[in-house]
Amino acid sequence: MYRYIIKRVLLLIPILIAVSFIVFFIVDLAPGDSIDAVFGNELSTEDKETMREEMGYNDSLLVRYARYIGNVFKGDMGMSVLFKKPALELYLNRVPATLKLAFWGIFIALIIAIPLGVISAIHQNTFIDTLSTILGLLGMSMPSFWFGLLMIILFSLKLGWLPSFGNEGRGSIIMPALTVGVGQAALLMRTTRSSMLEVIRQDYIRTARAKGVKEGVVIYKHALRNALIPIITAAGTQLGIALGGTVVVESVFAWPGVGKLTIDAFNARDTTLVVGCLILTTALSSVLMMFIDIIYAFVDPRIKARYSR
Amino acid sequence: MKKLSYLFSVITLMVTIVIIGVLFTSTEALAAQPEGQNKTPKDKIVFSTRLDFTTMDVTNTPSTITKSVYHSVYNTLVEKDVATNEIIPALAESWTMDSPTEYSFILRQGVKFHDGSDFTSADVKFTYERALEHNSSKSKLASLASIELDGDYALKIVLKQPNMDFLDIITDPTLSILSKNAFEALGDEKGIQQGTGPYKYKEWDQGSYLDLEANDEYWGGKPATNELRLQYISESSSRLIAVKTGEMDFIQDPPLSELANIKADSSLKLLTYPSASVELLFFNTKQPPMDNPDVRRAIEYALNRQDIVDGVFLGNAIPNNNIMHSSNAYYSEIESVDQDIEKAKELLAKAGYADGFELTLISNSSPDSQAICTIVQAQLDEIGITVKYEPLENATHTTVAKSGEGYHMDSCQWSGYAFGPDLGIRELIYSSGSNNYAHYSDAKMDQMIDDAIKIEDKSERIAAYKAIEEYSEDVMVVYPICVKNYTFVSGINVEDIPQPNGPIMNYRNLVSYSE
Repeated sequence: MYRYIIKRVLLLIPILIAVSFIVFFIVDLAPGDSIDAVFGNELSTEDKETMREEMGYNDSLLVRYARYIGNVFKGDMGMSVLFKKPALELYLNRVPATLKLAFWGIFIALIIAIPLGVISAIHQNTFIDTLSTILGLLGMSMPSFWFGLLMIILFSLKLGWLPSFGNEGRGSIIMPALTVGVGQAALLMRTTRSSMLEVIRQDYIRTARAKGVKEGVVIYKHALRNALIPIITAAGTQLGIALGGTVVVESVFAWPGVGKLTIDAFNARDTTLVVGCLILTTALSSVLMMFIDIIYAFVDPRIKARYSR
Repeated sequence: MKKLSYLFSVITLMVTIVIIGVLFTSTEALAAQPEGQNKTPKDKIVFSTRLDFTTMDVTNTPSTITKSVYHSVYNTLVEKDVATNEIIPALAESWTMDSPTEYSFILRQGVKFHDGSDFTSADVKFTYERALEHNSSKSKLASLASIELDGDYALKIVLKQPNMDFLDIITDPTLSILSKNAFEALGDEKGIQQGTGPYKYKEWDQGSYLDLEANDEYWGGKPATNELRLQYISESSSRLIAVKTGEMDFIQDPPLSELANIKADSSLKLLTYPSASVELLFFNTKQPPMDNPDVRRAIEYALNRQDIVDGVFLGNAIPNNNIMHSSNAYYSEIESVDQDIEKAKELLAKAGYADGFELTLISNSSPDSQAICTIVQAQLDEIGITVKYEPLENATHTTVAKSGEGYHMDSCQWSGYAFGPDLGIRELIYSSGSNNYAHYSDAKMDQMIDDAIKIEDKSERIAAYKAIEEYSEDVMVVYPICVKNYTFVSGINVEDIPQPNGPIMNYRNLVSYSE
């Protein structure tokens, strides 16, 4: 098991180097740079040129990249042109809010998705199944900014129960997390349903029922546990996406997450910050994926046995 | 099991109920709030704009919202009175222009920085010399030759050449006076945060909010409101809801489509002021047939400013037929042409394009510019010109527009008029101007601009700029469209937000009352 974890961590290094190079390359492809984007017409052409020279923008892509990666290995991810602060500090400031939103979002998604998916599966082709399919489709197709705004209108403007923006106070997480959660629940519910449908047709389920095991135990102990692997995979993927930032939700609720930071950095063509954000998000998501793999082992003893070999 | 199924069905139905509940309930009934009888000023004001505060590094930002915060935390040597457009005292109590290149200032005594250090002439010298070391600010002080101190409270500034905009330029908040002592005692990062203004930095949660607290020792008197919070909410609908719920005292830039509802809402106040920027269309004279004056004039005849104001800004803008911003002290009314499709077609035929032609129009990513271009496309279609429109991302737009390649016309905003008339005009149509996206080069125009900056007499200078404005209309390389309004929405208990000085909002004297 430990060997497996170490292998996964080591694998992260080439992934991060590849991601950083691709991002560096793509950002460089578009005309214009952060000095044009941030300072616009405020500076004369000569002043901008001097700045470019000083900041090494005139060097070739490979030289700039090599310098950047060299500094990253020394723990320096560069200064943001837009905010005049270290990229690492800016990113780390936003991570707690992002983690909070991502985990609450996935928690809500799972509470909605697993029971609904199970019920749909065991009542396949009934009214309840159709109803949850419709709700699933609704959740999947409903734009999150629209659902978010509707909730703000109801819970903040009309009822006055919850704050409409920000990450302060006890109730502030509820609406952003619901918005993220409802969107994710739809996919998870469909995954749960199909995975359950596969499992409940298995012989051992029939055997359990024949032995007179209670239906609840059959479903939640025998069937659901075996159906969990695809659900965990889907949930992990969704969580990974949420960790990269849920830009729309962050904008609607003025939630200070990494998604908005990355977009602001992109708009300002702040290469240092963009690359920094993406490298760190990749690292965060990769670590998370590793945890998901480890969870598999606990859920499914067959996988654990394979790791131990 | 069956019971459980129904329970879960009910839970999931909640989502639907939320949607239906909102859709079928009227917002009007809840929006109205009773007006209070006994009003007391609130301790804290919370407001929001679409832009985020970006940096405390004073010399180093073009962000208007950031400069607006500096206006509250720091002082410049002199300031501009928005109502009269006159330069008024700030940290300099008085000044004289000894010659076109020499200014003597007498400084205010007894002023303290937020760290407790005294403000003296050494701080002015330190600040301006520091600004000259920074690439992002040195061009503003390009005309400065030397600063001679005459004791702690007097100094003389010598310029390399006459620049009648010098006093206007030093009202820019990025030239706010910093404390030399604070930099030495506290280091650069803390030192730069010490201003002399009515508010001090309290807490900054980057990407979320910036808190300012009143400076009890402010030389101009302690501000009425103890604390200000600038909250970053990028989404305009969310900002509007936040002011409706009462969580915000005021916001800037609500969704334009909501203006009618805001006006009708008795619990809200809508305030508009002319913004700092002029919407412009450039004719790229490097690209035929835009080098032909008849073609440019034909396009001028084909366009209609009012349609753009109504269609894009829903009336929330002022048509501007002058490259100069209408609120600049050197703006004059000038004649321009009205839409005349027949005349436009005639001019096109004269230029040899009776059957029209195809042109490429570019813009930056501003939604306003994109909407303007769509209307321009339709208006030019009427005279047979087919417009290929290419919206570009901002940094790409700047690079393409500067190169002068691959486009015939360009739509963008220009806000260079906040600190005197020269910069605005010079950067726009001077042959080496950084924003000369028409790539226009005319020795006569350059000479007129170079002469105008040296004229001491104000009325003569206004006449000189009027001549430039008229000449610009004659050569028609830049088509000015309109000045968009800044829009503020506040609760009824908030005192009117003062008029901004160009792009600089005035947050110094905000007052909101609680019930």
